[in-house]
Parts: sequence; structure tokens; C-alpha cells
Amino acid sequence: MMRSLPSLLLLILLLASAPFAATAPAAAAGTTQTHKVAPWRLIVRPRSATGQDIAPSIFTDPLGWVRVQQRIFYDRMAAAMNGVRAHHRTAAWMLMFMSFIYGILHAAGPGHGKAVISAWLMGNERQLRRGIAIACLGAMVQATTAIAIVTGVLLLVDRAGTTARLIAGSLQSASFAMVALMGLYLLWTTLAPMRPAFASSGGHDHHHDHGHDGHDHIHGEDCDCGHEHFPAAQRLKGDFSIRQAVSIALAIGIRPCSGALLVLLLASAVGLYWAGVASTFAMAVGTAITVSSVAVLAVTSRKLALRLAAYDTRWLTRTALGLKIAAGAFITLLGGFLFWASLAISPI
Amino acid sequence: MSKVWRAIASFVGLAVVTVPAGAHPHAWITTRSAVVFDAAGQVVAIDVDWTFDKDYSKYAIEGLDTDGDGKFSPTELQALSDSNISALREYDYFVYARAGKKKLKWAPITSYGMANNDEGRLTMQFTAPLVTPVDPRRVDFSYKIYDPTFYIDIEYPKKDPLHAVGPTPRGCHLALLPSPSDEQTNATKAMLAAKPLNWQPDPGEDFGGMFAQPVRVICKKGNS
Repeated sequence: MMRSLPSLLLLILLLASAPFAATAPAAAAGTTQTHKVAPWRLIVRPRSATGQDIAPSIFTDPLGWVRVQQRIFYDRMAAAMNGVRAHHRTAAWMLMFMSFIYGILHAAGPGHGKAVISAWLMGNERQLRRGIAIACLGAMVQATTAIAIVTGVLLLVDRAGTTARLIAGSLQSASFAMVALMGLYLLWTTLAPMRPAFASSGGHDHHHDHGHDGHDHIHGEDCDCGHEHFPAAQRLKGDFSIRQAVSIALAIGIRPCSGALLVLLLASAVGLYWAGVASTFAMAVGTAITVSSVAVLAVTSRKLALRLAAYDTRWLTRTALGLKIAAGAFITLLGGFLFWASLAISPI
Repeated sequence: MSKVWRAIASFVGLAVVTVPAGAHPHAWITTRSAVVFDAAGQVVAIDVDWTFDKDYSKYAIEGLDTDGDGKFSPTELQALSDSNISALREYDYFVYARAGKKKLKWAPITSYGMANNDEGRLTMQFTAPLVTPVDPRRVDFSYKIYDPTFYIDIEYPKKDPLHAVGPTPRGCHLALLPSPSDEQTNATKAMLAAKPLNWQPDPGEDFGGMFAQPVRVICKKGNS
């Protein structure tokens, strides 16, 4: 599939131009009075005189060509999904493992330096314990929110369907469409914080200097995943009730991690919904582990924690930003293309 | 985010690597069929009624609305049905009938047509006449509707898959039998695996249609 990615892009372009190009050969055929129907429009396998399979040419029948490409891609997708289903146990464990690793890495990645600094600022053991407890709780709430959102939307689509076969098809298509939307959302959240900086430098000439860079950098950090993993230090000070703890955990968890949403959507699209649910929690456990270790590290070795926090340099943030844009674009394309391919199935 | 990218890439990669591309039908057909009996109770023809999937329908009729009224009249679909029928001849019209183990032949098809129904689905009807009529009380009559090249997927609907035209002989009825179970398929696979490379199936065997649902005219013995 990775190999066919460039051709996918080409396809999308072609789709736009296909309707115009398709009318030309049809009109030409009409004038010759032969009414010869293109062999791939018939219901027998098109073969040449020598018995070789033939396929529509992109030039003479672009619509037919696109159709064949879509079908081929759908078949690959379907075969891959059957493969996943056939090895569903391996696939489920694999997905859970990868989600767990992702949870660990993601919470330690650039842009999460704030958590480290925050932990370092706390400095006292009692607050640390509270912080860890809330971070773990928050991660679990985050997982639950992701599951609730995806399940809710899928149930809505489910209700809209009429027959069993239609549901299977539309659920899958909807999942892919949502993956594409997630990609767009990621792009938007990555690019949107950059816009005000451009707007202010372009629109207001009387601004004294362009010292926004530093500000921009911090802003990018804040908006990393649209969510946080660790409670801010000042919120953990003083007397502290269970209710407060829960409300902070809820505040953290109410915005789910986009990674969790993606894993859940893709898993349900390939028929591994429960593996997706388990993976979401695996991801939360991974996140909780990292955040807790960072917090412990911050208290036991402040110097090391500071050094780690200093890794959050500008070039790293820039690189992360670039990767995020690339990932957003990729996910949009992947979801969009899978969605398009999934439309090739027409339940009878 | 790069990790999400990688996680997805490896997941999809795993999926793609695990299983190579499979067979791909070009279109899906829901088939209904009818056994045509003459006054003497002999099978003379099979009436076939196909409904195509929406996607294929849309593609096949694209550009055929020559008068531009937004509808597809039988006349406008004439060229398509002509071409289909003549192309299907080579494949026995995807209808494979047998009297006992003997393959039966079709006379040229003269009654056929295509239409576009209210749901935007293309339909095709034709009557395949037997060269020689078959008396189902004397010999087992059965047929299967399938594409041996697996280019088209043909399935019976749950509702009204089958009916008779003309008087069904007394003591006879039509039955749509299930396609073989996994055990039967595996038994066949094992049988084939044990054969030498140059082995040729008996002409009476029917491996191409082993996944298709057979229709059989079942008659009580001694009740002619």
C-alpha cells in the first residue's frame, strides 16, 4: 500500500478530471454507429484475442480505469482486513503493544516539557504523590472519553443504516471518513497557532519588534495534543479533597488524545473494536507510567530533570511541528483514500 | 505525532504484508431464476433475472442516456444487452445445467433485455432454452448459476430466489441447495492435494462451480 501512495495522489487528481474526459470517447463512438460497448463495461472478464486479461486504458476510458484502480485498492484493503481478522489475536496484541509504547513515548516527547517543569516546581513528596495519582486517573478518563466519543459516533452511524450488510459497509466508510477528519483536525491544531503570529506581523506594522518567536514556541508547546497529562503544580498545593482530585482528573481527561481516537477508529474499521478499546487503555497506562516516572525523576534528581526539560529546544519543537504537519497530511490522505476505496463495495 | 504516524504505518503495513491481494469481483449480481416446464412436464428453459450492484450499474450505463431524458430506456440499453448476451455465449450464459452428470447445451438466446430499475440498479433478464428438453422424473435435473472466472459474484437472495413457470410435474418440487460447507470444501482440497500433477478431473466433475448454490428439480421416485 505504501508503494501505491504516489498513484493514489494521481488518482485523486484524475477523479476530478475524469467526468470531462469520459464524454469525449463516448461521443466519438456514437458517430461511428458501431455502438460497440467497451469490454470492461460488460459482465464477462475482458480478454484480448489471445486470451490475456485486458484492462481499460487511462486515456480511452479514464472512468473505467479509475474504477478498476479503486476496486484493486479495495481488494487489497479487504484482503488486508481479512488477514487482520484471521490473525486477530496477533493483531490485537500488536496493536495494544504499539499503543502502549506510543503512550510512553508520546508523554515523553517534545512539547511535554511543561509536565517535567511542573513536576520539578512541585518539589514536595506529598504533592508528587497527588500529582501521580491524578495523572494516572486523568489518563484513564482520557481513554474513557476517547472510547465514548468514537463509540457514540459509530452507534449513530449504525442507527442510520438499514440492513446488516449496509451497516457493515457504512460503519467502515464512516470510520475511514473520521480518520480523514482527524487528520484535518491535527493539521488545523498544528497550523492554527502559527496563524496569529503571521497575521500580527503582517497586519500591524507598528509592532516594535518581531520577538514573537519565543512566544510562538511556547504556544506550540501548549497546543501539542490539545490536552494535558499532568496537573499544574499550583493546583496541587494546600488542602486537597478527593472531589478536587477528581475534578482535576476530569479536566485533564475531558480532552482525549488524538492518538487514542485514531487507534480506536482504525481498529473498529478493521473489525477489532475491542482490541481498540484495550489499546486505548494500554496507551493510557503507557502515558501514566511516563508521567509518573518523570515526576519521580523530578523529585529525586532535579538536575537530570532540568537537563531533560532543556531538550525542549526550538529546533526540536520545529522538527516536531514539521512532523506533525506531515503526519496530519498523511492521516488525512490515508483516511480519505481508504474512505474512497471503501465506497467500492456496494452491498447488494 | 510522528509516533502515531509510525504506529499506523506499521499497523497498516502489518495488515498488507500478512495477506496478499485476493480475487476481486468486478460486479455483484443478485440472481433469481425460474425453471420453465412445458405441458408434458419437461424442463425446456431457465429464466434468469439478474440485479446488479449500484456501483457497477452506474458505471455500465454511464453515457448511454442518448436522448438525455435522465432515464435509460430498453432501447438505449440495447447495445449493452446485445454485447453482454453475445459475450456470455462463450460462458454458457453463466448457467450450467446438467441431466445426471451430463452437461446440457443451450440453444441461442432470443429473449433478453436490460433495464434500469427505480433503485438505480441495472437488471438483466434472459431465457436460456435447452437444445433438448429434459424430463426431471427420469433423470436428475440441476443447474448452477456462477461465473467460472470469478469476475462476477453471483448470489441468490433470501427472498423468492426461485420459482417455476408452467406446470410443475406432480411429485416434483424445486430446491435451492446450500453451497458446500467448509468440511466439504476441505475434503475436496485434501482430495485434490493427493492427486498427481498431471491429474485431470473427470468431465462429469464440477470444480469451477463448487461454491455455487445448485438448484435441483427433486421428484419422488415411481411417481411419473
